[in-house]
Amino acid sequence: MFSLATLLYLSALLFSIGTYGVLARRNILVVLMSLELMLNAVNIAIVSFGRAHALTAFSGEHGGQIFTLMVLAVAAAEAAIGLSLLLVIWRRWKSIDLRQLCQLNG
Amino acid sequence: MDIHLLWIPLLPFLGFVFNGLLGRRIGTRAVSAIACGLPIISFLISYRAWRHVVDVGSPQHWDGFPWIWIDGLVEIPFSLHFDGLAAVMCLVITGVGSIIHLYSIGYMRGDPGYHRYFAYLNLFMTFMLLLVLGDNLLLMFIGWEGVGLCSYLLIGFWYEDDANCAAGRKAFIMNRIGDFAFLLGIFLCLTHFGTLAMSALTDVNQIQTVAAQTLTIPLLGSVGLVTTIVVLLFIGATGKSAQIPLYVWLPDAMAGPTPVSALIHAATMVTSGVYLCCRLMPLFQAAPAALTLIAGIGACTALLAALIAFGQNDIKKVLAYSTVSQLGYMFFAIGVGAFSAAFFHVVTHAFFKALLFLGSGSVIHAMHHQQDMRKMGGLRKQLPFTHITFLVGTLAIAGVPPLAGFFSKDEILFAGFEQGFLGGSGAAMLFWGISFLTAGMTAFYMIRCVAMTFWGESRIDPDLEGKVHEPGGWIGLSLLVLAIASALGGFLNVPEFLGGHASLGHFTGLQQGHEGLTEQALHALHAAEWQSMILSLLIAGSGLLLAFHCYGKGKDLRRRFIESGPGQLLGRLSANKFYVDEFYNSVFVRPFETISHLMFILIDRILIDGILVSGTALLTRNVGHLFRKMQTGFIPGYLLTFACGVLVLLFMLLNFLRQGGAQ
Amino acid sequence: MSPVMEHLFFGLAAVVATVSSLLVVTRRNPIYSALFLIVMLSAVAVIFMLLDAVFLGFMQLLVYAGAIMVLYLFVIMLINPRDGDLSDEGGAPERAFAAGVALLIFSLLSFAISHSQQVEKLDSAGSIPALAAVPDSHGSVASFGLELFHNHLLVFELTSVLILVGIIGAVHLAMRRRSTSRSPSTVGDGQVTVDV
Repeated sequence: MFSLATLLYLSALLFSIGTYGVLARRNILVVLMSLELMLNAVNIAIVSFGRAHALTAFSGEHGGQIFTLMVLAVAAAEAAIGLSLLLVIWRRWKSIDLRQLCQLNG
Repeated sequence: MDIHLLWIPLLPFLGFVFNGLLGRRIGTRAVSAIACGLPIISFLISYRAWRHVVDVGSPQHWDGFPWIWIDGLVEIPFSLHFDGLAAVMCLVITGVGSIIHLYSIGYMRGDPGYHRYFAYLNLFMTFMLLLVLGDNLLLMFIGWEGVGLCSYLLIGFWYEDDANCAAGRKAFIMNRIGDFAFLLGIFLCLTHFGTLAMSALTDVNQIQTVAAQTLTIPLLGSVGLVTTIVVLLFIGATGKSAQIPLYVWLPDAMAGPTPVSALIHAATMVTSGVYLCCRLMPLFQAAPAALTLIAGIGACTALLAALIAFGQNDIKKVLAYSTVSQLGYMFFAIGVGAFSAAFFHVVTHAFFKALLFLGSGSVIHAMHHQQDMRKMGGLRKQLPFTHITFLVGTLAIAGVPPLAGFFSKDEILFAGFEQGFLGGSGAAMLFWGISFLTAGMTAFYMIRCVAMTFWGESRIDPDLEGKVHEPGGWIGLSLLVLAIASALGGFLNVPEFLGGHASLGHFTGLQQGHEGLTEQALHALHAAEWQSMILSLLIAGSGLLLAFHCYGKGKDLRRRFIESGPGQLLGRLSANKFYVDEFYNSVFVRPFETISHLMFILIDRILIDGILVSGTALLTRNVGHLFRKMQTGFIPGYLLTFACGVLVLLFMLLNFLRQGGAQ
Repeated sequence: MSPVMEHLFFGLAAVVATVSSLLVVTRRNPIYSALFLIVMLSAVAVIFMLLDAVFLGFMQLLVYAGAIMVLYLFVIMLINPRDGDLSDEGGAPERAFAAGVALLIFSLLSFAISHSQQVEKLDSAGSIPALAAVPDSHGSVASFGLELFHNHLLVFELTSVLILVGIIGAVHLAMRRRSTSRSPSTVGDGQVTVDV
């Protein structure tokens, strides 16, 4: 327990759960939340690697954490844009069903 | 730095710009004032420069500015040179040009394209003067191309009529062929002389250096370099100066307004080929083989054009063929080495041919654009002044002393006589014979023209009866001035054996001196000149008399000749211009059109339109159709595809890692 | 904190994270999903702190579990989907397929982890704290900030640009424009209004 491998297994598990959410759900809100899940799963892996390599990493002692902070910022921006889009979609079609947004079919 | 030289071509150019841009707004009077005033000022400047050259005895020169240069390789300045030759040419162009401008005021009155006409005419003056004044071949070529352009614009001036446009195109394309050879000649000069400056191209030492070289041409073998250059330049001249084989455009060019025919297609532009030869006299003299060719072409052109002139019924066509014939004379003179005589004929021809054209224009104007001589006749009574001036021109071209044509033509014939009989050259003898015969024919067909137009019974349209009046004003004045010039122009260059000084020849620097000859030889030469003169007087006189007889009392003789076998044949050939146009059509134009059509179908229709354009569109559309199916708009589908992609990538990565671990 | 406690906390956090993320993806009502997501994010924050990333753990709580999730909840409340509005979720075959793909990804990843010589080598030293003994200041605001602003300043600044763009985009998208919506539901301009 609490070894690098354990952490990575946890990360992989959470990532797979997020993937399931993205693929299986139709509600855009839940899909977005699943995306956050996947991001966090990856964050765990990054921080673990950073911690394991804290003394030897080329990128410095806190490389993994700083990378994660950037992911955090990206996630914040993504959430803001994604949710605004969701609002627009809701106004336009009165629905947040992913499957109904098929106006772009060729 | 004689910068005032620049104003000679620049002033008409200003006129062109002004009339071209504003002509529609400023009214007819202002257009005429500008268009005629500026060439007259050019004439005055040329006159002053000429006086200066006469007084000081050295040419004027404007160094200009560097125009095209590649360091250490080529340097072509924009510079002007005003020597005796250019001076005379400038005076003729601006002088005759101004008169024709004035004439045009009367002739073009009321035409909707009035300002456009004068703009083109001024532009023509600009380029013609640039051609004459340019101090290097390239600058000359600019003028050369420019006059071609103006010629095209003015032939097709009444562009509503398709035939006029076709004539313009024909002139342009024919000139294009010649210009191509001219350009090749320029390139050869540039590569072997290293410069295009006139001073270098006429420098005897440099020419000798170049003359030693030869050029290997496929099918022809080794040819002298100077000969090649001269032949190429001459081909250029055949285009512009309407010689065999490129003469066919000039008669068609009569589609333009008559003053244009007078200025461009008789007096100035078509003589630029002769001017080119005179300008580069030492170069041409260094290529005797080419000179023989030139003499032959000139003599044959003179004969052929004269033969065709017999059968023409359009008054302007007769004059056009007469122009071609006279140009042939000039080239014959150059071919036998008489550059001075050729240039003298350029000057006198400018006078009397301009006069004849303007006279015909006066007739055409009076007859409400009727050009067919079969519908004229007896106009002497209605147009007495035009008749007199036209007659002066006719006698001048026929070579009646002491009118202008007599002196110049006599000199040309004597030059041929001298080379043929005194020099013992068989070819020159033959060409002299042809030219000699042509002199008589010239007299005949010109009298025929006068007779059909002015003499005999009236055949004019009954509708026009009583409406034919002498055009007065500018038209009459122009005719008068040119008639005087045609009558007296010959005295510019009275030969020595008649007590003159050949002043024009000496002034232009083209006269071959007789300094080396002994008193005795000079006497023999003068005796030969007398013989030649009497011979040419005889042939011209017999031509005149025969024509007077045929178109006067001897109508039966004419009818009998026309109805005889050879007469019928000749008549048909002449009226159909010896089927040269038809020949060109079937040999060059038709195959070209066929090939073009084939290329149009193959390359344009099938390859470009069909395969490249439509094919690209078709390919894009079909591929688009194919990939359209993937664009379902179904987002979970995209996500699934994405996930599967991740799976595949992961799988590949693992595979890769495992293989890497195995190593 | 003793190593035993650390292990205990880690196990707890891992279990909470796994269970709550499963709940996130399976709850029908998005409100529940969001709430469970907050729980999951907090558990991840705990894991971060256990990995000596104290500052990052707090950031995770503040920014993620706090700000971002509040945004989610706001949107859910703005939309306020009633039961009828909620899309009916896909049937069993669909879920099974998605589960299959997820499982496949998981197995491939675990295969990679279990076969990685790197991970094996690192793991031979035992748990992570034993692997690399870092100074006490590791992950503190001071040392984290020093490194961030010394070595990664440009990236940091670029992030601010990214967030600015995100803000502008969000405002632009969420704004109601008068010209495009002439429907009677328009109330005021530049103001986010929601039709319920």
